[in-house]
Amino acid sequence: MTPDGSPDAGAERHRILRQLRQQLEQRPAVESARGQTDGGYAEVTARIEPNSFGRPADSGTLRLVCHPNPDVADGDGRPDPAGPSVAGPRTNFGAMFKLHYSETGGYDYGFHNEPNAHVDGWFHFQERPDPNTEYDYEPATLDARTPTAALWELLDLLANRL
Amino acid sequence: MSETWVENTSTFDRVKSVALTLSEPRSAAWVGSEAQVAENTARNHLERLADLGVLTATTTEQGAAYAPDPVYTRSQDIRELVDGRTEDELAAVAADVQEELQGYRETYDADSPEALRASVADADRTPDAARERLEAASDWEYARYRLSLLRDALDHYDTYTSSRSASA
Repeated sequence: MTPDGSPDAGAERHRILRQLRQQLEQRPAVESARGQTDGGYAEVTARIEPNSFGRPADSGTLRLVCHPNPDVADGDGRPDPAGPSVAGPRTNFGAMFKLHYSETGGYDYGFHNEPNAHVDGWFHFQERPDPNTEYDYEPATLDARTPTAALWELLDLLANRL
Repeated sequence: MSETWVENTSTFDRVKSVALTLSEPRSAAWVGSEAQVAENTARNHLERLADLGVLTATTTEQGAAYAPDPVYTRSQDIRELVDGRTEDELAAVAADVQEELQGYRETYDADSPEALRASVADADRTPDAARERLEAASDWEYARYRLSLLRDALDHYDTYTSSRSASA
């Protein structure tokens, strides 16, 4: 707990990302997953077997970042989950997060829920064929209400994109 | 909802993982729905996890609500931190984290993550700048928590590692 009695946001981030690392290890195609930096969970990285995603690359990496309580002020561009004005309901929980795949050869893509200048609202898909090309962006939707369910839904969405 | 998730995990695993990523107490029905598990099955798993001290259970007008137990969570965090690390290694990491914390104060000219987060609302802030500041505020909070774990681990290193030393 923090001095004012509110839940410790750092503790929550650590707890959530450790769970997500354990879930990643149960997903077919994930060879290994670990918290970063050593002994911590600022983020999670996983080694992926690209062929299981239908990709010809030698190796692939997933990077998972989750900020559970961005606690942002109104008017920051986040879509209202109950309002259809911004491409319909988009995400059902408050975390700022990204799940991004990259592989040898330079191709990378992923889902991000964060302030950005490319789509209305936060949640979107972005992709580029190599590091020298600009990303393509498009809005996306997510049904899950918790980080664990979101991770599996996002992994399905990533797999379906390929 | 993910069919891959159901195919590769048990009902207990899904209930436990959903419960341990909750940010507020939730009922068995709510957790069961999210974990793709029948309500009664979810309730049985949640009660078992509460008995084991993994979750806390509180009584509400709608029945029991479950949330991660902060003491269990912190003990897990410390156990993972001390596992395979010497006191010197932990002290070196603590020094790095202290330096990181000082870096946030200097880079953003803010006294706390809360002050940094409040600065996001400035009208002329671009989305990229807002994202950077929100990430930095979260990283700052995380570094602060990590330093508290490291200090705890260093203060009680012999206690936390005594059973492993005895069995080595």
